[in-house]
Amino acid sequence: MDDLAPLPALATGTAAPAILDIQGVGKRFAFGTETITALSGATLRIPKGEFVCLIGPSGCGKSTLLRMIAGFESVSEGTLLMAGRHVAGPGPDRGMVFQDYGLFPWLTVRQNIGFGPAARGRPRAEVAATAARFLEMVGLDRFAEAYPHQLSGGMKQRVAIARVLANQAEVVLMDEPFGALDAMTRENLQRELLQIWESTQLTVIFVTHAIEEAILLAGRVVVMSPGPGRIVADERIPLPRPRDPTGVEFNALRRHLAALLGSRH
Amino acid sequence: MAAALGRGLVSRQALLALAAPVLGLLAWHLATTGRAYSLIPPPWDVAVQWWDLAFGGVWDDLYSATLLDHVLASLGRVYGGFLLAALVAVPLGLLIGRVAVVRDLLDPSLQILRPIPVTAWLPLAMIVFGIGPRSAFFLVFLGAFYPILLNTIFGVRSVEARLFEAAAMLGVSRQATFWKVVLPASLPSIFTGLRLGLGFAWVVIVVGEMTGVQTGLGAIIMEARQLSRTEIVISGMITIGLLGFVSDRLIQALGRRLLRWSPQHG
Repeated sequence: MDDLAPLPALATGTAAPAILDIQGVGKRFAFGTETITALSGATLRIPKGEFVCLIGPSGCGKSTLLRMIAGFESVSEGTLLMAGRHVAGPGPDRGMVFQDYGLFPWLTVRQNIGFGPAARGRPRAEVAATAARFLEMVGLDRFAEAYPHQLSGGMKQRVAIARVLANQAEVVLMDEPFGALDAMTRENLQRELLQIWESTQLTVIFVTHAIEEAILLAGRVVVMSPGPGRIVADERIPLPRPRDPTGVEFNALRRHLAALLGSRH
Repeated sequence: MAAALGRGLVSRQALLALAAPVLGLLAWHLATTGRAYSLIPPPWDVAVQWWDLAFGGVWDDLYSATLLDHVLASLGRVYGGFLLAALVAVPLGLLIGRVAVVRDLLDPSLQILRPIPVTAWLPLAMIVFGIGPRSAFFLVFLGAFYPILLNTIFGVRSVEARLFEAAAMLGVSRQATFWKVVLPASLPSIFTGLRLGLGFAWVVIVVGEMTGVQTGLGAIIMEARQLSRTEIVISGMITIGLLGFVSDRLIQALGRRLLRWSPQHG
């Protein structure tokens, strides 16, 4: 399997309407008198319910693209449509899971999870029910009244995921969410994330620089390259889940993606 | 086992905390007691004087059993000035920290006024507010004002950018961000400012009460100094120390209750 041919290009975004339509999107930063192009000409159509990994070395613009989808960064060129509408700023339809969690330290786990619905003025009883449901989903019932500083990294990230789900985000944007966790915790969270994704209609866009993580999770891997940041490949991962990282096909994909990443510096 | 260990720790801490005062007291005693002539009265004389000041029955002079009046007068000025300072400095600090126009408008002036010691304001305060308790009240206000203001500004300015992003992506509007993020995130700093401010209020009260005030701990200290009643001077000093200490402990306890979530306070 060493000489695996380029994977058959499965039809992307066929019948399903794209929840995210990214057309020739670029980002330029002013840096003193210079202008730095962080991303250029990115085009992607992401149908509802897809699990997409953005992968690439640092400086390839993967985080920039994610932050533009989130609405934290403005779009310098091209168009970025979410459910047919231009992204003009952050919104609850696009939930973000940060690598450093971004939990509100003054709120308990329960209050953090209920934060979105409460902030958007949902009735108290509904907020409580939603928080309880997602507390259970991420297995943190016992820590409901704990404060973030009392939690481990893995638990904090569970809270971060739960609060985005509790807020009924349609697209979950994850910026190297498991990068700061130890290997065991990371594996558990990867498995739980897949379970949650399979049991919901979520669209997930997951930024990582780990090839193995991308193949383990994604239905589709978008490979990016720096100088300036751009998309260089868009690969399907046709393996059934759960995937075995020691399997032959898995390793063939790993070599294939490594080659794509390595050959485009 | 754990409880026994905890108790052991507390008593060890208490013993250590007492070591310095006991040694100081001993040195004071050895240096003053039994001398034919000493400018500093021995500790026992001060203790007797403090008792008479508080409860009477020893000397039965002009000062006997007047301590409570002086304490209440000083407490009123300290907490009054402090609360007024908090009421002005916290909202002002929030505004300066959050609104660029207000910052550009006020910050330079406040920074120029800041290095002026509170004591340097005394003559001017007496001209504006007259000789008397109102000047003392103003000085306490001024002493508490800057620590509260600066820490509030610092708290608002150092809210993590990540928390604004988190709130925005969860659907918090720009206007609601202040109440949902800025205020709770700056509470630990605001609290530190309040604690420092209250400490300064106790420092300043003596200066404020030194001229033209009849009652108050600062007033009797100054009066007793002129009458060479050094026991009363030291009694007043010790009383201020104790009140300031209790004050600080109370505000710390309040902080621990309100800021359980903060690793620095909880």
